[in-house]
Amino acid sequence: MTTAEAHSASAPAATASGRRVAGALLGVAGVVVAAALYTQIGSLGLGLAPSVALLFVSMPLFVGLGLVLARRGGADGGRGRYPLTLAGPSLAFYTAFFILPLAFLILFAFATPVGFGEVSYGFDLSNFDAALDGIYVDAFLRTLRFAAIGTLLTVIVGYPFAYWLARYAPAKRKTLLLALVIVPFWTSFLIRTSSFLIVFSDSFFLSRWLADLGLTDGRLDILYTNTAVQIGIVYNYLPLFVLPVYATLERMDWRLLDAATDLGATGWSAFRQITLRLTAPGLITGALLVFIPMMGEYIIPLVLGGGRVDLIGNVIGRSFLEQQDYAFGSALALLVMGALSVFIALYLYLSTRSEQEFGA
Amino acid sequence: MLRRLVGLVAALALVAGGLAVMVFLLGLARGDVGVGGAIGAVVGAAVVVAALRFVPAPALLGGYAALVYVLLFFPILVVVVYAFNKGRQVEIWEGFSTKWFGEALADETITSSIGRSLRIAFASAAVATVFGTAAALALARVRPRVRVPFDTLLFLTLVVPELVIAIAALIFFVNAGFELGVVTMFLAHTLFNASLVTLVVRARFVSMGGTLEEASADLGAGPLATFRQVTLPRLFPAVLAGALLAFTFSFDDVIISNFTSGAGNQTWPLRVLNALKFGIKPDVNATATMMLGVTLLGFALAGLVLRVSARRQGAVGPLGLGRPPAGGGDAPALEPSSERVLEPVGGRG
Repeated sequence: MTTAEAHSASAPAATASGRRVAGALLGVAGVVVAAALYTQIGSLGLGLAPSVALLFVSMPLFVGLGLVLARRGGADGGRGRYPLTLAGPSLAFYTAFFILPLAFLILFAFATPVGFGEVSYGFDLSNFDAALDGIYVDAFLRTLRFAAIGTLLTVIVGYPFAYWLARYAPAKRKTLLLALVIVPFWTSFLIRTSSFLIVFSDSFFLSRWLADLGLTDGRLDILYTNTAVQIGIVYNYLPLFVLPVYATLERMDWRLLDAATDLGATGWSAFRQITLRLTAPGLITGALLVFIPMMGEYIIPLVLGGGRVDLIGNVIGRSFLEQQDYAFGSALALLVMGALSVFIALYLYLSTRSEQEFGA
Repeated sequence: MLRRLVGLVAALALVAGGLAVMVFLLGLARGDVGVGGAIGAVVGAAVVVAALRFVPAPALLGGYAALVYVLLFFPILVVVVYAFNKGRQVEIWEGFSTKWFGEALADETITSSIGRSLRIAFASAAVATVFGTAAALALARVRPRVRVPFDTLLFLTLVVPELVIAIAALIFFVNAGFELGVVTMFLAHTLFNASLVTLVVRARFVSMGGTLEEASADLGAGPLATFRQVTLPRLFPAVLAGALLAFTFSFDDVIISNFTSGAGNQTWPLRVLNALKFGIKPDVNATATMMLGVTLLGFALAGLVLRVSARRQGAVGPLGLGRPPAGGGDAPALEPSSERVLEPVGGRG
């Protein structure tokens, strides 16, 4: 690698740009060949195992592609650096099982459905037309509301907790206390969610206690409602928010707060002007980390909503698993992704801006 | 002790007061307000203000954190307790019994689904760890022009909702002629897992700095020797953390498996989902309890072994398992002190 880099570095500019074009062309050709190969794997009449073997055999193609890209970038090699070809397997894998499936999704969204799970390819906008129907727009808006409230609640519950963990938790037990946030993950997500079926049931002591306190009139009407789904969502996504926020809070220099209070700031304004602003990147990352999966939430409404709470994920899921209308489901999924990309762009903008501002 | 108790009580009051205000405001928005609700809201607001004003922040936050821990563990406790329910319907307590543990172990659909889940998770974690670590090593210290396209891809695999990845994978597998089953689930899981491992390992690798690798190369070691003797030992905690995360994700995954499993290839989560459709029985809870017990035991043992070996070496603490595996892209930040021990020269990237 070292010689290759030295070679490309000393090459004249004209050769470099020629190589760049050649590299790009080869890259495109590689992707086309791979696409042709992978989409036709089934019709080659091979079994599943040979197909997967073929995939791995075809990887050198991408490794070669990686080599070309590396020379183009001129960044490979160097003392103690690992060769860029090591990224080849991942790149091949992403191409085969991420980019191609997404390409299929787009293809299906514009195709005309014929029969169960079958389509004829073309440019048909009727799927989008159907997906923009009032019912589905309502479902989308409902999901947006669930995700927004869910994110807000997660922040309210999680941020003070992460703050305590980073600043006031006993230093000796910090690792243990942090590990305890992860432990719930070791029990299956479905089991944890379904335990709320017990907690919210009328025979559980919570229901009786609340009735005895006079807060409810005997029945805890939470199960299979929006509230149950909302609680389930916040519960499941809480650790996902706490961890990145804790990571940023952990890096805080708390002496800054002492300095601020010495200079006459009240505790609250010191928090607002220093802690909150310095941890904003982590806060935004954490919020997005829970908001996006909440938008695609599919299981929690199924379990705790009992079929009465219909989010957009459930609509998409049904169109694949029950109605077998792949084209419609794909179009709906694309629309949701389009809406989500607005939030992702916002996030990228905010996080780069706060990084520039504070050099985090 | 007293301070903690005060903190806990204050935090409870704070939450209750906040809830009262919130319920009142929600009622106001809907237009149904009672006198009781209004009084509750006023009292609640007063309690909130008083708690914030008179209880010192550390105590209040400590109490709050204790409540969050209760919230985190309460459902799991309920699962464990109700695994000992005698009745057939899980949510109605009919008395103590351990019979469901026996029934769960005798149920072939449960044991085979756990076996299938374990196989998929092991394979997926192994492949994802190799792919992800390799990619992390290759991409940690290259120019942005090379790194950014790959990063974008990585970022996309993480932000595209799992449901969308699941349906895209389903369409692809069906149209590429793959028969849905264990292998398709493994492939779809590995995609997300590879990104996860790459993120965790790279965060650590970047923060380690490249000075030791450079020194190793200067002293004549080839890339393979440098990797084995210099990089891997220091990177191991992150690799292990990535592998654990990958395993956990794959073992617990519902959505991707639900779409790419085909017929008759239930994993453990799919078995639970199926049980939920037809009314859950305590055997599922009993199984979950046993699995939790085994996991906790395993981690306790591993933590003990690591602690002992770390003490023997007199070096850094139990990084691998003592440190929680998750932490997004920022794994090293969880334990900044350990970096300084290993990195006398602060050469970043």
